[in-house]
Amino acid sequence: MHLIPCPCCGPRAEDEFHYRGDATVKRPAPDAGEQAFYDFVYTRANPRGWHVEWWHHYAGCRQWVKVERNTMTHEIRTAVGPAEDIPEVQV
Amino acid sequence: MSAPERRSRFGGASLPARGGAAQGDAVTIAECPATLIQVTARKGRQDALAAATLKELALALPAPGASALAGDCSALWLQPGGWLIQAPANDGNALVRRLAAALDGIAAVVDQSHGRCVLRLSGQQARAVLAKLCRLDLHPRSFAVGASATTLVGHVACTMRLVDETPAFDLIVGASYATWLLEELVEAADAFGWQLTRAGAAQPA
Amino acid sequence: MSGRRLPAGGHIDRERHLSFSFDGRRFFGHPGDTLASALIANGVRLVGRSFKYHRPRGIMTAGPDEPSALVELREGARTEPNSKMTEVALYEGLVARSQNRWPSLGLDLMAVNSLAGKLIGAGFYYKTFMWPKAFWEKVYEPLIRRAAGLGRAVDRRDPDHYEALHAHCDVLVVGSGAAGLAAARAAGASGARVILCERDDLLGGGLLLDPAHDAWRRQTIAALEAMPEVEILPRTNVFGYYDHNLLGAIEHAGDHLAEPAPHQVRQRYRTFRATEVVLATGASERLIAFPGNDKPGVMMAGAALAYIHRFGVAPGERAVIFTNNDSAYATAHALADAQFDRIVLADSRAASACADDVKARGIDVRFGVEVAHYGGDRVTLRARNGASDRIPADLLCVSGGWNPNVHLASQSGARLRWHEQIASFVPGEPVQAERSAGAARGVFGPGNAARDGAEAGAAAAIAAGFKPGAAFALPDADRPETPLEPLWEVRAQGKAFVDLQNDVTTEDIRLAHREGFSHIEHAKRYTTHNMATDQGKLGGLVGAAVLAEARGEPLEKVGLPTFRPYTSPVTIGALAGRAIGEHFQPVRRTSLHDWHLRHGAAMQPSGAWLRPFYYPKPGEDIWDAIFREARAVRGSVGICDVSTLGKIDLQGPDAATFLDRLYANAFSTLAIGKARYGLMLREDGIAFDDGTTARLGPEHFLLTCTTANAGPVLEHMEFYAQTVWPDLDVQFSSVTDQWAQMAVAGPRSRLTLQKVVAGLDLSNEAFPFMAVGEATIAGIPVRVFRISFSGELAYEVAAPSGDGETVWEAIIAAGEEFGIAPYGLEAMGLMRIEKGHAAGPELNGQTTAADLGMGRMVKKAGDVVGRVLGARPALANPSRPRLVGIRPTDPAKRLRGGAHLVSEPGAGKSLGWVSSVTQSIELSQWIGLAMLEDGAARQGQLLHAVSPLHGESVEVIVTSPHHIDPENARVRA
Ligand SMILES: [Zn+2]
Repeated sequence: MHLIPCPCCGPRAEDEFHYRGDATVKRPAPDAGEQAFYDFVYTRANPRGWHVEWWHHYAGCRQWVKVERNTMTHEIRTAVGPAEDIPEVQV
Repeated sequence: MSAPERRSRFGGASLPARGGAAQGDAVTIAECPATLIQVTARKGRQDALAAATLKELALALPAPGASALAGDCSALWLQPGGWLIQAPANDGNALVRRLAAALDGIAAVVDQSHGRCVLRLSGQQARAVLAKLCRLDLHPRSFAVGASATTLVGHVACTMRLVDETPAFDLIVGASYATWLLEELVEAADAFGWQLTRAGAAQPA
Repeated sequence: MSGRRLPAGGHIDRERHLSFSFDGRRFFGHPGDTLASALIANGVRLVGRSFKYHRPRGIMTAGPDEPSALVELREGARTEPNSKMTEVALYEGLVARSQNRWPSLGLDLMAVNSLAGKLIGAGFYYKTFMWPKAFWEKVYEPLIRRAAGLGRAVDRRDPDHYEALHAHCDVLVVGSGAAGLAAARAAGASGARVILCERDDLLGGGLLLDPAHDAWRRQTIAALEAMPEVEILPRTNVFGYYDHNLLGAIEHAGDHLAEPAPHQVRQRYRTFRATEVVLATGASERLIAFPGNDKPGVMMAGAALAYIHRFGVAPGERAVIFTNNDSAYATAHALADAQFDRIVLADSRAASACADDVKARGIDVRFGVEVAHYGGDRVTLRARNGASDRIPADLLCVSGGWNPNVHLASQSGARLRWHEQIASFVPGEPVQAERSAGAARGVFGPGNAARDGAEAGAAAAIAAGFKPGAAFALPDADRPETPLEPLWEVRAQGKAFVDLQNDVTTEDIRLAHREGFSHIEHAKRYTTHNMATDQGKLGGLVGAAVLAEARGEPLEKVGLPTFRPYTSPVTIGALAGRAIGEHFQPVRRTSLHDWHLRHGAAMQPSGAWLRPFYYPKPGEDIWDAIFREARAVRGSVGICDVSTLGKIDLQGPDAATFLDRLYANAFSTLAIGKARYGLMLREDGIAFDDGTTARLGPEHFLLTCTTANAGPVLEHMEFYAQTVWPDLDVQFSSVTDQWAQMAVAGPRSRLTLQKVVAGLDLSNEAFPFMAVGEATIAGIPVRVFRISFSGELAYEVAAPSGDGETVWEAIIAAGEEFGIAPYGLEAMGLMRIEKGHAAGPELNGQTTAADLGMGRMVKKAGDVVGRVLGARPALANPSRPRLVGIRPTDPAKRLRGGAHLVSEPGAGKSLGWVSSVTQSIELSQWIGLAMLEDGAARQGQLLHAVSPLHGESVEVIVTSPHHIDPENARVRA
């Protein structure tokens, strides 16, 4: 069971959240065309390593939390609110 | 004139007044009827909302994880820009209308008095009971008097507040889950013993 | 008969006697005994038969590493198979049976397997029981299960209770040997919240085996008990180390009792979320592979020490100790203390600094020798020069060195590191916030381990944000040891086992290598080495060493199979906890739930909700009740609890804009005081949910959504409001539970409501179809919506849920003269199919707005969820399955949901499927809704609904989905 650092509520057990997938894709402008929407809905990178994901805190503050998680190790590096960007990490 | 008395949401549970281990350190579970009002600030109007609730109810809206008390009213943080105001039950619709008028253009005011149910769990073993139902750390160092959190208790979302050092916890749960939560609490309290008390037996601290 | 109770010593209560039975024989023991120690004290040597060859086996260990001494414990519904005798605390009246023997332990007919041993080597089951396939279920599997396998599970309901408990701490210490006790004390002294878990019922680990250290053990426990923030959990076995420092454990709260006390649980599943973890899990002694190393009488040297000092039991009379390290010398002293007749210490090394002390007690110490065979009563010793000697012995103590218990560290993500001096793996760099201490990382001896533990405990507390506490006394430093010399296998004639529980021999490992299963993980699966209840703790590394030799590579490179939870078996009951029966998952009840029960409703789970299915009257069957309820609505008036509908209060200056984008159809044009049907699409253009949304004010709407999608719709709205259009000024929250909602439907619904509704003109002119208004009923403020799901003139009344029953009863009283009937989900379903409303079976995640006949509702421009992808050519193709109605041409025939529509019986191509069926009360026959290719163009065609499952084929005619009132006149009446 992960411990997810909700930016509002603090560290909370994973069962308070619904995993909602890739948070790096952005919904296109309404006139961006079919391909852009297709990519938004279907095209995913599936990276091994660091990834930014949506975790909806349904049993807490009800925010769509953006979580940077390592898909290999499950380490969680950052979590920010729905409209914020994950800060760039200098490697 | 006071509002007509509401029916208990415990109705579905045909539970006796007490149960569990007899010589244990029994916990008390009370249904506390309350007026519950959800207020959510309009975009960019959080400061105005805070000022208006301070003026109307003398309540300083609390930060995440906290609650505020003023007289017989309290406020709990729910989500960014959103709070739950708890007041005595007999204020009923009057307070909702008053707040809706006072917060017009500042916040959405939604009556949740019937939508949520307040259960107060108290007694020396209250933390031990909750530890069986909840994954939050409720040790006094992490969750002091006045602390609040929305979390899962018995698999359902509850807004929880530590009322005093008895300890007494208020669990605010969706009304349709009230009977379920009560039965979970009773089951978890089996080793300590439990007693149920009815409406009005406990007042907000 | 060679075991015996010693006159003194051990952590047992000699004043009290406990009686117990094993295989029907009655014995006595003492509190503090395990079943194993009590049986040894009673002279019992043979306790089980092996898994594959049914070889006789005895007790080899004194703890969780035990591979052989498994029993079926207790009786009746409490029977628990595969219990390790070495972990079963004795209690009065304990009943145990040996297992895996047939017909009896002494005479096991299956032992013939042992003679055929050459035939059942590694991979035997894979190779033999392959063909014919049909034989597997009927012949092979029952045969294997009878001949092999462990104990049998019980199929009766467990009468005991279990529960979960979640704890948090600054420092979790796993294990209470010298290292664990010192770590807990050092961390506790800092003021940190500490939890100390010990799998045994006594704290102390190895300290319990050395009377010289008992005073320090007691002092330290007393000091820990005096610390208010230190919690000590005996009988608590930590079985897994998971992400973000979450550990799982089973507390055996009532397993040491015949039955748990009233209101107490048998086992408690515990989780610990720890800021820092100290793993002081000790080490396990490893076996040496030599022929006969599985015979009754073979015992790990540390276990023999434990029986003497922990339990006051001597496990024999004449002993040989076979070792490659110094630890077994303590066993030699203990055997001497226990007055053994003869003790021979066979050390494979050339010398040991411990030898002189042992020799001084008259023990025969021989260096440079190995055990070449054990026959159960005689040990064959073989010297380096080839000379051999046969020594009578009823006890053969073996020590091949010690493996740190690295399971939890490995699960935490730490890589293992080869430690040359101890010839074993130790935890490498931590990945999570943990550290190992003492024997768990190869620091042996109570003095060394305690120092290591104290440092680890203090470091953990500092890492958790605390300042170091006061220093405390530690045990005396240990004497330096003579290094171990690795010894894995003595090559000689006969079966040498590396895994006693699975009967895996050194030859099996070599066979696996020869057949290409050379990777440690492959060899494990091929031979079953390291599997089952002991997880190969005794011989895991030995097997890996044999494999390494066969591969010609260093053991370090071969490695060990991945360690996974559980480190030892966990009962399903403990994991389920209290979440069984009615506590399995949350249940939602409407505020009218009690009324439904009082009026005889058959309740039905609908998602988390319990809803009335129908309200049978005496003598009615299900269809009688459904027809009566539906006829009441079609003919007069009925009332239905629809409180479970999702309700969302939406406010804000941008509320209308938000709805316009969220729904396929427009809402900004909706007048205040009106409601409108809305269809929500997913971003991929598929229909998501539908419902009626009312406009209560310029910036105030009330959305309803289906019961099933109430949660997902709110989450969907939050996604768009928070992440896509954060600039929109909208506020919304679920008010589902705030309102009791009731549908009042039927031609006399207006007449009924007019009797009780105050403050609202319900006439058709003042309050037309889709009107919304506020009123009171019985003095209670309510909202009234003129909407219909049944297809009749109908209203929905919403009352604050606490007042729901008052309002409901007032309406029923008003409708009494019209014969008002409460109706349930089934009658509602019947009427919506008659009316042709799409519901769950049609909104199935595959259908578009056009498929459901609502294509024209969808906006053609603007920012609308699902618009762009919904316009993809394949989704817009008119030949896609469309919603239609169907009826059998023979009115006597029934329809089946799930049937396929074909052009003629036997036609291979399915043209669509039947989604919903019912018996129509208006048409007096079965009717259905279906999704049919080119549905719109096929109206009037004859097709066949086939259900191969039922062997049925029914000719049907394709109709409009609106089986009744296609002009929608009734709802506007
Ligand atoms: Zn949160």
